[in-house]
Amino acid sequence: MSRDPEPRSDALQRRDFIKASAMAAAAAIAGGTSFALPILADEPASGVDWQKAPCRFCGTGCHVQVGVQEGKVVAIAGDRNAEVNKGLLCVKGYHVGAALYGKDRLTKPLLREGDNYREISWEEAIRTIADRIQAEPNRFAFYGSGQWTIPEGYAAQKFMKGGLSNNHIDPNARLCMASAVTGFLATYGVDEPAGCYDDLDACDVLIMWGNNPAEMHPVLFSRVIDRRSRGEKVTLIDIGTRRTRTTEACQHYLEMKGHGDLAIANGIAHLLIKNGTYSQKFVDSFCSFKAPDDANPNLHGKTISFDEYKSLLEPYTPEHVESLSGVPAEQIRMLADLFGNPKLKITSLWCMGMNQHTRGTAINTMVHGIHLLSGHFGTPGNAPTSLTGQPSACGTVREVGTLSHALPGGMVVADAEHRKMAEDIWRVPPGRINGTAGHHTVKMWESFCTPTSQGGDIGTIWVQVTNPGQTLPNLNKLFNPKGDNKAGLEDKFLIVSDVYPTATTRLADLILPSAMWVEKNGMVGNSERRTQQWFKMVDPPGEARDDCWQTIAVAYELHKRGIEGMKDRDGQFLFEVRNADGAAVPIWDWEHYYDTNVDEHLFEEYRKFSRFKHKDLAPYGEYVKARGLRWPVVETNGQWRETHFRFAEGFDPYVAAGKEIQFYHSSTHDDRAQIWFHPWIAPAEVPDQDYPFMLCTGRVLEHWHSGSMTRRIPELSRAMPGAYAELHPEDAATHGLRNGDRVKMESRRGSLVIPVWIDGRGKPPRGTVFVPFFDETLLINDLTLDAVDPFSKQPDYKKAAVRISKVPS
Amino acid sequence: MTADRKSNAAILIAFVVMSVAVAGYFTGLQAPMKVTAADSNSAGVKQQTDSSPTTAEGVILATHYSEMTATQRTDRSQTQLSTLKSTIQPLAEIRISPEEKLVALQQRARNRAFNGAPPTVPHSIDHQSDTACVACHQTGVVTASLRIPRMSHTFLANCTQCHVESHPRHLPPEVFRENLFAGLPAPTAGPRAFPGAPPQIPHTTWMRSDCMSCHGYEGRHGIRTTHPWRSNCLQCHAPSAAMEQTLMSAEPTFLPGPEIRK
Amino acid sequence: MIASLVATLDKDIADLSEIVSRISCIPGVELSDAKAVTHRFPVMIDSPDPDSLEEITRRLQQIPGVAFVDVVFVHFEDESDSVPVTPSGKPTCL
Repeated sequence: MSRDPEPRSDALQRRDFIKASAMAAAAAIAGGTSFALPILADEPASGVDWQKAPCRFCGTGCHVQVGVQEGKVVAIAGDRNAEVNKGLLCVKGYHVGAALYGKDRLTKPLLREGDNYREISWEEAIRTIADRIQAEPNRFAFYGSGQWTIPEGYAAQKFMKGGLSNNHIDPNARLCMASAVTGFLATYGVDEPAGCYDDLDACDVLIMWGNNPAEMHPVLFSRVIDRRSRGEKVTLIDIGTRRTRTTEACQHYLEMKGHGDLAIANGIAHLLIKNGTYSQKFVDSFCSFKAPDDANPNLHGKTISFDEYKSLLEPYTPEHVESLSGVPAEQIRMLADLFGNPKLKITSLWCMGMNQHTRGTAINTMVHGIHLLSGHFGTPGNAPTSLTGQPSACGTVREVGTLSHALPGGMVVADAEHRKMAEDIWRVPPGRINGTAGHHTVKMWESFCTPTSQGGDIGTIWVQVTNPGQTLPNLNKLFNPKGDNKAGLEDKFLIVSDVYPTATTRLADLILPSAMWVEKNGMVGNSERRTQQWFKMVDPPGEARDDCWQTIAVAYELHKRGIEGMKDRDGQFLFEVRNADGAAVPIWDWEHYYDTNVDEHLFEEYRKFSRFKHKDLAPYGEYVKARGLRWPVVETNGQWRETHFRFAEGFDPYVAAGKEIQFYHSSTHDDRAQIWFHPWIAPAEVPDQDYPFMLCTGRVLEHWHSGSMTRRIPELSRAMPGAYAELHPEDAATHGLRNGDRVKMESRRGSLVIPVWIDGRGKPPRGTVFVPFFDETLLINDLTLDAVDPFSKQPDYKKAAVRISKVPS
Repeated sequence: MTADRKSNAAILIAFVVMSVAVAGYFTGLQAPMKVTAADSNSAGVKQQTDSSPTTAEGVILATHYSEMTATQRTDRSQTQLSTLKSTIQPLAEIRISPEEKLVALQQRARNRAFNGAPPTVPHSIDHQSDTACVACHQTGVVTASLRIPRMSHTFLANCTQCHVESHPRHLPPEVFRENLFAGLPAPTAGPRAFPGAPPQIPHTTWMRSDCMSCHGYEGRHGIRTTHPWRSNCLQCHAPSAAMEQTLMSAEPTFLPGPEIRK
Repeated sequence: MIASLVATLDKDIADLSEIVSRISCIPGVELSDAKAVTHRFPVMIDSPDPDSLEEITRRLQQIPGVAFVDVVFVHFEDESDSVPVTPSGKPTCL
């Protein structure tokens, strides 16, 4: 019926198209005969090599599958075999592969000359560091990280404490989870959570104390709210100082003033005792009571009786708690009723809200305390669990003990017996380890930034895998000294190993290009005691090299120069590695570093420390096979078995039969945990007439910590390009501010001009502002307070008084 | 119905549009402006008369024949939302073909002037009160024969401020003038960093804060999420700052890198 | 005219193949390549005019075991524009 050939063929094409559309429409409606969306359609059919690795970012410890093609990471997938994430990731995890390929990767060692840098060889860089250490070995400090892999941290730890007899080694984790450590130590006598992520699958109630896991630990948060999607009943409670994405998913939101958590915890304990709903059986069998000893402040405090504990709690009536915390008395009663119900399984989660707190140790012990007092402990779903922010804050910092007072495996330098055990494992001469703790983070940097003539006793700091120029509190005081303090710092020398230029490399005298993540072998330990392993998959760019190699190369340079500390008892090099034939492998030579698996050698030596506090680690090979194992990993009948719940019979192999619960590292040596009383104490700085706003700092979903990696990933940077100040709409109106206006924010320590985002990502209550710290060009830490917790020495980034004023456009 | 023969491309587009419009007629969602077809009964549809309005609320429930299944046909007589049996199966596997996705987007475009426009209402509405809107759209529901989308934004009290009727029944279609406005089409997919990466959200989230409204159980099949039990959507799917006008700075800023003397 | 429909079969039919073959024998009817895995499956009709479209639809409805037939898509076009239906390649039907 068509009129000429050409239109006819057009008509035919058109008909084909229409037919296809018709069939598609019908197929869609009929359903069930369709195909899955081919999301991997563009993926090359072959040539991609997939291997497991834990994600580079937070402390959750998700496993990813890394797709490598022609020597480059080309794809990332959630690892379905991983118990932590069961195949799910967050937006950072899905894009972690791109963190390796920012255009401005550091690829050459750079030495400062005046205002700029000169490219130097690795030999010159290593010699320069060795010169600094050799000249002043006791004024050298190592500033590390919870992103150090376990072998990296272990090598640095051994180099400093076992080699240089120098305890000035501390990590950025001091800023992150030191209060959690002191909380666990004061309560159980041993660090790290008893529970694990499995509690999230079993709990009926999840209480998040100053925690925003929807953004910071999204995979864990999903694990809970996904249960709700499946029809399970889980009550989520958010106790916080601002509304967040987490709040939106919670049934209850308890908005408190800073330090309100201290009052809330006491209020719950008060009601549990008053109502008689505490677990007398649990308390009588497994707990003692403690209060701070003001005359002699330490983690042991003084033992008190139950009656004394009760009378100390007497003032904390719900109404009094309301006046201290701002949380209505009714909600305190609601919490106490939940804890008073033995049938409910309650899990508490916390992270920076409770740790970055000048009463961080106190609030940590108090949350453990209400779990113990109410008996919500030791069964799946009943656990007080702290989360970490870095992939190996637990594995490296807490377990390897890269803290100024610690030795591997939970030992401390102050204890002569511990020192001897460490010296024996390291085979260094007796007396090598110094018995006095070194400088903790805040003190280390203060000393470094104070002229030598004024008592600044740190001359050189070597920074690895972290960005203190952005993340230390009160940056202005440290790095922008005024007037007289400016002079006298010429002799100081800052060495920074990193992968990208950062706010810290800007201050550096020597910049070393590092390998990152799957450019090297690694092992890390996540928040639930899970030790994870991966292999190198791609080469680092340019001359970038492993941080661990850098440490060993400097040690060897010092060894060559005859420095006594670099030798063990037999006169061998401290990091001597021998292959299967017994021949020494020159691992200090980069060309030969991967001739052997240095990680495995270091880990097998480190593993010997893990028995001391029953944090047993399995042989390296077990971790190669697994998606991480939770310690204690104990061999039974030839099988290496991990431990889900510590201190609980039936789970923990170190709990004696019939004990039910056994706190076998109790600080009172009677298998009991300590329930602490601490009074409510006001924050170190509160708003006043001059500085009427409370500033809280924190993170956002898209960016990880100081953003040096995530801000170089287009997908993440597009989603969250820069920092902002979150403001309540009424506060904004009072100050004549609209979205996008710029404000000058000032504290007693510094100021910042920053755009306003009314209600922003979260919703701060009136009188408070929130600023994320990821943006290296908007350094909110110029304003933050450097007051620290008296026990953990962790600073409080969540409470600083500020004022704001509109900047005319 | 005559097609313009001048441009083949134009013809093709014209046919697609017409086809879609007619498909819409038969799927019961929208009366086209012009119909030259035989009536639906003659085309074989077992059409049931629109069920009696729930007079209390003064609203006629939207009927969506295309989504009826045989087993639930008899349930068509149920007109109270509360008596309808939900067909949501939270753990059912969801598989979507590209064709289904295209169809869903086409169906969706029928009552939107452009991507991001507030949808027009494909059923009669009560012009005096929002109570009836909220009665169904507050929660949304899917039954064998009915799909009521949930509000994609938080409750805003004046529904008809933005949502108007698609085809006021008291006016014949012929009285309307043609309009050549070509609205922005809906994106078919968000960009992915690499195969297997979760797509970025290709639209703004303003007024679309409840992702599950369109991508959840109540959403059209072709654009539904394959993993509806995961409810923290933004955990994996990042929005775009360029599209989200609430974000302040358009570009990330960095410190200058180290200056290297050559 | 091009139209597509969804045929809904009675739930209790175990063997779909006989119905499927009866449907595919109707001139102008095409079935999706995909196998009918549920009791609903899509059918595409290419017919020269509305009358035959109706006729085919009616025949579909009369096949025992077919519960409903829903029209999903109808494409109308100028009579002069259409291409004759070519039933070639169809299996011979009894």
